[in-house]
Amino acid sequence: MPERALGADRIAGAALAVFGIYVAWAALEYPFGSLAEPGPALLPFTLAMALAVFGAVMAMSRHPPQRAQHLSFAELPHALVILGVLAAAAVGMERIGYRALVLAMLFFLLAVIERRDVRAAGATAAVMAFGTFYLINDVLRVPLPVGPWGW
Amino acid sequence: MVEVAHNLLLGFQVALTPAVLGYAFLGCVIGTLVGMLPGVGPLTGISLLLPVTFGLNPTIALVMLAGVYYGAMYGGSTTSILMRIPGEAASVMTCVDGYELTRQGRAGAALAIAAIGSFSAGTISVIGLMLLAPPLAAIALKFGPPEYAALLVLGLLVLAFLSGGAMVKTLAMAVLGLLLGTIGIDAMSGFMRFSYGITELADGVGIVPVAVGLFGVSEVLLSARNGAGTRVQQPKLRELLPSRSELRDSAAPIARGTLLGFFIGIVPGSAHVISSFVSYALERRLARDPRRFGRGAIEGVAGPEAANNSAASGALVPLLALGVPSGALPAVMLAALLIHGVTPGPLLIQNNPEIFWGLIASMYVGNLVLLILNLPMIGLFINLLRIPFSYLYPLILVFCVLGVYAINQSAVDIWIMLVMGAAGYVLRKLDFETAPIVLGLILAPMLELSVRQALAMSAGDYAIFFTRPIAAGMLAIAATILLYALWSAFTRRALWRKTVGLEE
Amino acid sequence: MLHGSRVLAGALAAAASCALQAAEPYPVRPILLVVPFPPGGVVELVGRPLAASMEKFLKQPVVISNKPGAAGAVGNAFVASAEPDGYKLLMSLSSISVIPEADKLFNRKPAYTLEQLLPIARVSADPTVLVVQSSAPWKSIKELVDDAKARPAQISFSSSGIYGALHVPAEMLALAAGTKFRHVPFSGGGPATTALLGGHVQFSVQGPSAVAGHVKANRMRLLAHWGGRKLDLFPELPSLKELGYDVEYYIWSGMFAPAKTPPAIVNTLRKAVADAVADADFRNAMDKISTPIQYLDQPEFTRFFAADGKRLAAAVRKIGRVEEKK
Repeated sequence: MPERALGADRIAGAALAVFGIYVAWAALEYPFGSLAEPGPALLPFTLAMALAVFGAVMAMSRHPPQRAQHLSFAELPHALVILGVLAAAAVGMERIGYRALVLAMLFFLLAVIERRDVRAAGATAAVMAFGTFYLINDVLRVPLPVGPWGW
Repeated sequence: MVEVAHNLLLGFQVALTPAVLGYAFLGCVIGTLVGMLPGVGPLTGISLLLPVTFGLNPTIALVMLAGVYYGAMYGGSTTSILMRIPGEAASVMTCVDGYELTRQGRAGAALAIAAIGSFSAGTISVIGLMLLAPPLAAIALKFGPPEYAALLVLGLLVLAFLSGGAMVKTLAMAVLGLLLGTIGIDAMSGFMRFSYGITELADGVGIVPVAVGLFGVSEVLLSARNGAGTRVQQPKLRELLPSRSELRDSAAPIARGTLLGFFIGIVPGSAHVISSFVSYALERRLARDPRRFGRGAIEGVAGPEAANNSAASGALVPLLALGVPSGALPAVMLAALLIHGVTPGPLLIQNNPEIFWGLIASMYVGNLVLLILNLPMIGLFINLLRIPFSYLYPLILVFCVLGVYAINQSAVDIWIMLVMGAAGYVLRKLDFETAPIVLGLILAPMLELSVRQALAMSAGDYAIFFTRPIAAGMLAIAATILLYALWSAFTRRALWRKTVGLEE
Repeated sequence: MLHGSRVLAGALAAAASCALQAAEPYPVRPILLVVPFPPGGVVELVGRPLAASMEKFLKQPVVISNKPGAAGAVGNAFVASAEPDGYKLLMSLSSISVIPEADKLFNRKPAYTLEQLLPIARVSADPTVLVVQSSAPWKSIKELVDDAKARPAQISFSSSGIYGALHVPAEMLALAAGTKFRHVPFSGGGPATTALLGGHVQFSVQGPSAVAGHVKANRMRLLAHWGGRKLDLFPELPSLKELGYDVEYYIWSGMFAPAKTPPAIVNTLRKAVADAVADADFRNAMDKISTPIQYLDQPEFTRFFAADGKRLAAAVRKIGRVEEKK
C-alpha cells in the first residue's frame, strides 16, 4: 500500500515540522547570546529549526519509501491499557508504596487483562512484589517507597 | 618489561590469595546481577557495596568494586538481547540486533558472543591498562574542552551511519534526540530550559528512562495484541552456542571494538558511553552488506559489547594514573580509595604498588571468572523465553518501572519512560529508527557544554578549535568523513536518478 | 478499614497525627537519610559513617538514600515537603542556601524555601582552597590578583558548575579584590580538577582533601584558603582573611529535618548526632577521608546557618545573571 505509507510519512513529517516550529518559538524565551558567547537559546533554536526543515522535507517528499507499510492499529486499545497501567505506577509509586503497587499492577494485568487464573495471577503478583522488594530494598539496600500502612 | 613481569607477579600474589579471590568473585556475581536489572546499574551496585568496604583493606575493597563495575558490563547485555530492555545507555545498540537474533531463535548465540566479546575486550584492555596507564594518562589530560568538542563532533557524524532507511528520517530522529538533550539547566548560564516547573528535569532527561521507554516499553506495546502467540522463536537446546561462521564473523568486530572502546574510555568525562554507538556504526559501515544490520547481524552485538567493556577498563586509566575520575562510576571508586586513606593520584602506583598491580591481576582473574560464570547461565536465561508472553510482558513492565525508578528514586523518570514508550510505539509504527534519539540525547549536553567551555577558555575565539593539534586533527577526520559521505550520497543519487529515468 | 482511617488521619488532620506521633516512641521504624547527590560525594562520605554510628544509639537502621538532581535541589525539596515525623531526614551541603537564591534570580518558583527545613546539627566544615598548577607563575594570591587586575577577565578558573560550591567562592574573591576572573564551569568537582591538571584553565577552587594528593605529588600549588582558622591538612597555608580579603567560605555538611518536626523527636536526633560524632568509628572514618569534624549542635548551627546563608545570598545576588553583565 504505497499510498498509505506516503500518507503516513507526510503526516509524520508535517507533525515534526510543526513541533520543531513550536520548540523554536518556545526557545525564544531564553537569551541568544552571541556567536562568541552562545547563550542558552542558540542550540535549541537551531536544532528546532533543523527539525522543522527535516519534517518539511518529509512532508513534501515526492519519493515515498518503496516499502509497503501495513499501518494497522489493532493493538492500540491494549497498548493504551498498558500505558494507563504505567501512568498508575508513576502516580502510585510514592503514594501506596512499591509492594502494593506491584501487587495491584501485576494482578490487574494478569487476572483482568490477560484473564489468567486468579489464583496463579495472585500468587505471581505476590511473589514478584515481595520478592523484588526484598532483593532491591533489603539485599541491595536501595530503599524503595513504603506505603502509608507501613509496607 | 622485566619490571612489568615482576610487578605482575606481585599482583597475582595479591590477587590469588583466597580472601581477594573470594571478594573478586563476590563482586563479579553482584555486578552481573545488578547489570541485568535495568536501571539498577553498576553505580547502584558499587554504592551499595561502598559501606561494606569500610571494614576491608583497600586492595580488597577496590578489587571487589572493580568486579562489580566490569561484572555489570557483562550483565548489561542480557536483558538487551532477551527482552530489548537496555540496562544502561551503553547497551542500547545491543538491543537492536541482539533482540532480532532472539526473535530468530539465536538468543543463545547472541548471549555467548556478547560474553566472549566482553571477555576478550576485558582481558585485552587490561593489558593496555597495565602497560600504558601512565603515558596514556598524560595524553588524556590534554583532552580539554576543545578536544572533547571535536570528539563529540565525530560522534555526531556517527548518528548518520547508525541505521539504514531514509536519511532524512534518521536525521530527524537524531535532531529530536539532540533537542531532548537541551532540556534542563543550562550549565553555562544557569537558565532552566523547557522544564515547565519540574525540578527533576533540571539535570536533563535521564538516558536510561528514555532508552528503556523507546526500546523496552515500545516493544511491549507493539506486541501487545499477539499476547497469546509470541513472535519470539523458541530456541532449540543444541542451538545455544554460536556457530562457527558466527564466531568467525565476530572476531574482527570484537578486536576493533576493543581498541575503539579503550581509547574512547581513556578520555576523561562521560564520553565512553558513545563507544558502543561508534563501534556499531563502524561495523555497519565496514560490513559487506550493511542491510543486515538491524535485522540480526551478529557483528552488531559483538562490536558494541566489546567496545562497552573495553571502555570500562579504559576509564580506569585516568583514575589510577592521575587520581581523577572520569564519569560517575570511577568517582565512586575514587571515594572508596579515599575512605581507606589511600590518596589516588600520580603517586598511587609508586606508593601502593600492591593496590595497582593487585587490581590489574584480579581483573584478569575476574574476567575469566565472569566468562565461566556467564556461559553456563545462558541455558538458564534462555528458559525465560519459554514463559508465556501473557505472563512475561507484565513482568517486563514491572522490571522497567522498578529499574527506572531506582536510579534516582524519582517518579518523574517513570513518566519519562511512559512518554518515550508511547513515542517509540508511534515512531516505530511509522518506520523511524529510535537509536539515533538516544545517541542524540547523550551527545547534546556534552557537545554544547564543551563548545561553550572552549569558547569561554578562548574568550570567544573559534581559533581554539583549530590551533590545538588533537582537536584540529579530529575535526579534519570529521570533515573527511563528511565529505566522503556527501560524495558517495551524491554519486548514489546520480545512479538512482539514472535507474529511475530508465524506468520512466 | 484501619489502614484507610490512618491515611485519612495523615492527610487531613495533620495536627492530630502530630500529637499521635509525639505520644508514640521514636524511632520505631528505619529512618531514611536522604543524600541529595549521586553516590561518592562528600556528603555521602560523611553521611554513611554518621548513619552507621547513629544506628548504634537510635537502635533503628538509618538508611542512606541517594536522591540526586538539580545540584541537590530535588533531594532538599523532597525532605522539605516530607511529613515531619522524623523518619525522613536530610544530609545536605552548604549549597542548600544558594539554590533558592539562584531560583529567585531567574524568577523561578523555588523548589523549596529554607523555612521549610529545620537545622539539626552541622557535622563537618571545610574551607575551600585556591589551587594553581605547580608550573603557574603566581606564588601568592597577591601576584594572582595583581595579574588579574592588569588583565581583567583573562585569567580563567574551573568550577563544579554555575553558582556551585566552587564557583561562588571564586566570585567572592573577585569581588573583594575588585577584579574579574573568567569562569569555565564543569559538571562536577572531578572534571574541574582534571581541567586544571591539563592546563585548560589557570586556577581552580577546590576542597582541601580533593587536591591533597596532587599537591603532595607536586602537580598543584595552593595559594590560600577561605577559612577562619588554620587548616589541619595544610597548616602553613594563609587564609584570605589574613591576606586582607574579607571573604569566608566553607563547604559544610549538616543534618536537617522538615520544619514542623516535633521537639521530642528533634531532641532525640540531636542527641544521636552528638553521640555519633563522638563515636570512635565515626572519627576514624572522617580521619581517613581527611575531612575535619566541625560539629555544631542545633542552637549554634541555626545561628551559623543563618549567617552563612546571608553571606552566600549576598554573593549570589552580586554575581547576578551571567548574561546581564555583558
